[in-house]
Amino acid sequence: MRSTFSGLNTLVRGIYAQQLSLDTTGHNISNASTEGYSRQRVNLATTLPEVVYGGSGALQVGTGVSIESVTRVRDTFMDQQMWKESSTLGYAQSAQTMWGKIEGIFRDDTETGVGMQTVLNNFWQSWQTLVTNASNDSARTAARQRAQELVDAVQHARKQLSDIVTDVNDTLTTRVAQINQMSSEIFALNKQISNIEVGGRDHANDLRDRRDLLVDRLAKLANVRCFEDKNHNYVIQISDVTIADGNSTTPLALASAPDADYGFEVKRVVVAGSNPTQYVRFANGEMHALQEANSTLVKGYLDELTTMSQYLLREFNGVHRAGYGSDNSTGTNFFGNAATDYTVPPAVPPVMTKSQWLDAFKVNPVLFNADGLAKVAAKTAEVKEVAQSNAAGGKATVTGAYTPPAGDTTYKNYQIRVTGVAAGVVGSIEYSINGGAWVAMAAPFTSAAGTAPFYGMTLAFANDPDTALGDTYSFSVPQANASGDNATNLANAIKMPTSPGSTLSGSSLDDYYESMIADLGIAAQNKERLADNQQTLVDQITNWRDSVAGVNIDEEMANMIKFQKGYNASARVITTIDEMLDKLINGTGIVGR
Amino acid sequence: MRIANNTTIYNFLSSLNKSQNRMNDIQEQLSDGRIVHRPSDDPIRAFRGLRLNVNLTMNEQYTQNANDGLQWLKQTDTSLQNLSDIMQSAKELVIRAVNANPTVTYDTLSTELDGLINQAVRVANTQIGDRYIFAGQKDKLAAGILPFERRTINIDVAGVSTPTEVVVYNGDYNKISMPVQAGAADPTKDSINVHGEEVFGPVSVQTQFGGAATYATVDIFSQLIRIKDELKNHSPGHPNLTWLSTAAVADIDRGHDRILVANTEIGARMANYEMAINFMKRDNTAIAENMSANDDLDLAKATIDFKNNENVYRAALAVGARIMPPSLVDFLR
Repeated sequence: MRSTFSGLNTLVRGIYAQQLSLDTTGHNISNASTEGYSRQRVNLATTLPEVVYGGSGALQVGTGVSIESVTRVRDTFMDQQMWKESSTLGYAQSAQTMWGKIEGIFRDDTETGVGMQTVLNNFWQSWQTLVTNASNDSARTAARQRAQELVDAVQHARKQLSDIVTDVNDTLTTRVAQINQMSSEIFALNKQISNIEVGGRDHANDLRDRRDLLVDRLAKLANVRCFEDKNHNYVIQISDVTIADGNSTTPLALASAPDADYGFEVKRVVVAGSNPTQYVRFANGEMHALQEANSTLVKGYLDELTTMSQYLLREFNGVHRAGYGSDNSTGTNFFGNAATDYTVPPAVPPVMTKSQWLDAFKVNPVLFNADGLAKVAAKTAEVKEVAQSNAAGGKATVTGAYTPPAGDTTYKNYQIRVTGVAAGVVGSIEYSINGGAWVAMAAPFTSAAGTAPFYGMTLAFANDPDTALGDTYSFSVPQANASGDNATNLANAIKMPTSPGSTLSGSSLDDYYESMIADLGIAAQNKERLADNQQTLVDQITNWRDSVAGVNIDEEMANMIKFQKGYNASARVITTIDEMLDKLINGTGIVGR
Repeated sequence: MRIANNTTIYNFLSSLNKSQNRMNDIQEQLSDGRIVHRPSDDPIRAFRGLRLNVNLTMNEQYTQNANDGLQWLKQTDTSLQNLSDIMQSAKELVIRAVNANPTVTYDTLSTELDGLINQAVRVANTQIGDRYIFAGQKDKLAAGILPFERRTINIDVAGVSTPTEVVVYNGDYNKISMPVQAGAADPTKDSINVHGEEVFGPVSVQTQFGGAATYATVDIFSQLIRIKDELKNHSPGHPNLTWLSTAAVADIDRGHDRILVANTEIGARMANYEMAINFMKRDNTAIAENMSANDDLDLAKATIDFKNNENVYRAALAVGARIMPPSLVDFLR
């Protein structure tokens, strides 16, 4: 026999269930735009039926509804997909930015005259101008100036590349802090969730959403492997380091070491407190792009700059050293220090390091001295003939070639003064170099022949009655010479293919730079495409995931109506039962009253 | 597939973003009419663009070299023609002298010839800017020194100091190259000057009396001076007319020939350089066309692309505006 009031119980349960469902609908609607939220559902089940013995045997009578659980609707397979693909997206996007930065450094806009190519062209043109105007100092100034521009362009690019490393180091610091923060949050959530879900009864829906969201974020940064252990803890691994599980977190830290070739500071990720050379190897995610940038990418382009500088210091200098300046100086470096001969690789270490090559790449400071322009070697042959500037008298001449004192190539002008004369025969002379002090000419000055040897030349004096004491003659090695054949060679060294054994292995400097740009373009384009494609893939997965877990307002509204109607109907049935009981209590047993 | 509200918004935003990105790309291209703005836009085009730019720079520079050379050559050509006229006048003058009844005195003729010699020396010292054109590679000399100097030196004639009027050559015997193509300088192909000996030569070396001083003297001038002296020293009286009419005229003719040969050489090089300039101009047009084909935007296509994209963008906005707001909420009381 059933209880009189059992129907009421059934309906109270129904009202509870509808109310809870309605509340959950409200929760869903409230969180419709919460990041990482997955919609929740109240799982209802019938209560155990009551066995009632009816006329024909035992009957199963329903006793209403019970609330089994509140669960979130989520597909963990999608999560795994998402984590895998968003790592690649994180990598691609960050790598795209890095390559974009490098593209910015090597930007060539030949129309507006920006970039290394224009600078190389200008440098070449300045030498060509020197070819046709070899006797003009202005052409030499232009060559020197254009060379300075080239040096500035290379050094500026070098600085910008090093700046990228500094930026990357800073970003790494931030990212490692974020990873540590997230791993400790995941650890905290692991604890809460495993406490709540002990026995497998309750579903810590909102906490799990938060934990998944953290893994989502972590996955963009690094290649994260995530699985759930039997106590409902997430075990998070990056490469082979477990950064969070149910028991602890493993904080990451940065170890910084100078780059072997260029000496800039490179930060790498290590497990905090462990061996600082045992780096965590990121295989994907933004961290991978960052580590790639500061350990190989930037270096690759610094290497390109080094090779170009090396070529200019070795081969280009070689051509310049072989030529002669307008002061007949030879063996002058055009780039680098005055003293070092870069064309001869030192036989024994220490060999110049890459950064030393880059450091050495500057216009030879000697060329900026007062007599520096004369050292720009535009001609291939020495011209030693001497011109005389007091030619009108014709009482003294010079023959032979001017040979400066050993190790000194700067003497150019000198004067001869007659200090002793008798009846037109010159007895003694003295000379002054570059307007310096007068020095008496030592023997053998043979007055009979009227000649004297002078730095490889022969001074000749006519026996002339007009010759007077104090007659002064000036001579000079010609400053200007129209021979620009070495300038042609130097120009060719910039634009023409080099020998197969050269620093550039046969290609011209232009070719070398251009193919570097082509490679850069292709690589940058690849990263751009990877980022685009990966974005599409991640969009797709996001949609799939939302398709399962996302809140649809229409659906919630429809459910709202459903639960409202259910609630109303339950209430109505209670009213009916109430009326029935009213009838039973107040309307029955009053016969004859 | 079940569509969540966020899905609609997410997709709407990402498609809007894509559309804007495309528009941004086209807009960047339209703003300066060029396809490539960074190597990754189109690596092959970027590479080819740089290569073509190098070609253009080289072409323009070699054209400039050729023009520099041509300017030099033209000046040389004019000077040589002037010298040729002077030699012509000198010859006429000598012929007038050997005429049976000279209309003017030998003295006058001598003065006239003297003037011609000075004129020739002036032409020989012609400069372009501050560079002497007939001085070989010594195209700039120290102040006070000229490549050709007319003066009197005491030379040793059989042990006697003899004052002799000569023209001294202070230049050298080298060629100046102005190459119009890549490669090492080669004076047989790209020299643009004729030096003093080529024009006025040969050059003799004279030793000063009483010393070891030597001078390079230019023979043609020495010969003209000798004719001038012959005319001057025998007035009144008769100069050696036989010598004048044979050896002297032959000397002048030889000198004149040399100038003409130099002029021919210069003329040939001029034709050569003019042709080179024409070729390079043609090349320039071709390179410019290539550059334009490589990097210039097809404006019509880009504009249509832009319009298309704009339409897509507008459509996306319009549809978004209609799809996103309504939900069941709007229809429940």
